[in-house]
Amino acid sequence: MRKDWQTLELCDRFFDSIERKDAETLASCYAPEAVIWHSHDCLYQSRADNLAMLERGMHTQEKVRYRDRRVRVFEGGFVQQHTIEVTWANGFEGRMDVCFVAYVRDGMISRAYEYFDTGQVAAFLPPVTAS
Amino acid sequence: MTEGEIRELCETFFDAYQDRRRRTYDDRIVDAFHDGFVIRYQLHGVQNTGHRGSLWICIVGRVRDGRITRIDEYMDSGRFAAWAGAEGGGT
Repeated sequence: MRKDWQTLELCDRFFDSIERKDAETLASCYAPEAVIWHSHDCLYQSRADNLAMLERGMHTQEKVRYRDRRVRVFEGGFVQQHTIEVTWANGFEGRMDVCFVAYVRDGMISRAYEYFDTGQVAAFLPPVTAS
Repeated sequence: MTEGEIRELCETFFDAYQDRRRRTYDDRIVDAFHDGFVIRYQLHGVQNTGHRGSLWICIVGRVRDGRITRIDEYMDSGRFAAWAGAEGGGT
């Protein structure tokens, strides 16, 4: 039986790796069959597509921080509530409240469900300027 | 409070709203932890116009002495107008 602290460690390793732009550690947190669901489109994203998206963010975002992390472990997974703070390349600082529910198998995330509010997008993404 | 009791409390909470609001809380997925729960569900609603909408919502609840002390609700407000039929469409 997996101990709570092992799940907590996985949770911290996952979000810390994104903050540190450590793509290798990030990928190691996902099980081979991992899928990630998002509330804005209600669709499952494949492991490869999600990793590609996160790695693009590592290049386009100056800094990412997961603030005010509140984590609870339950049988088979964890839930983390946080505020993501992103400093974009143009200096814009965005933030959004997120709830991330993950299910764990063999020490890796096998399914994740990410809830956020697209109504907060103006506070998260830099404003579009006319070219 | 056991995780089973927390789960039961959570079900009771949502059943209490169901009759009054003409809404249903479907596909509930509940995970309980030592001092609370996380529930994910699909909110189905039928408006007076006949419009039907659905919206996925996640709630993290904290529990003390058998009662909910705090709720954090994650709902996509960008989809709410469509849910309510205000944009003439549905989700």
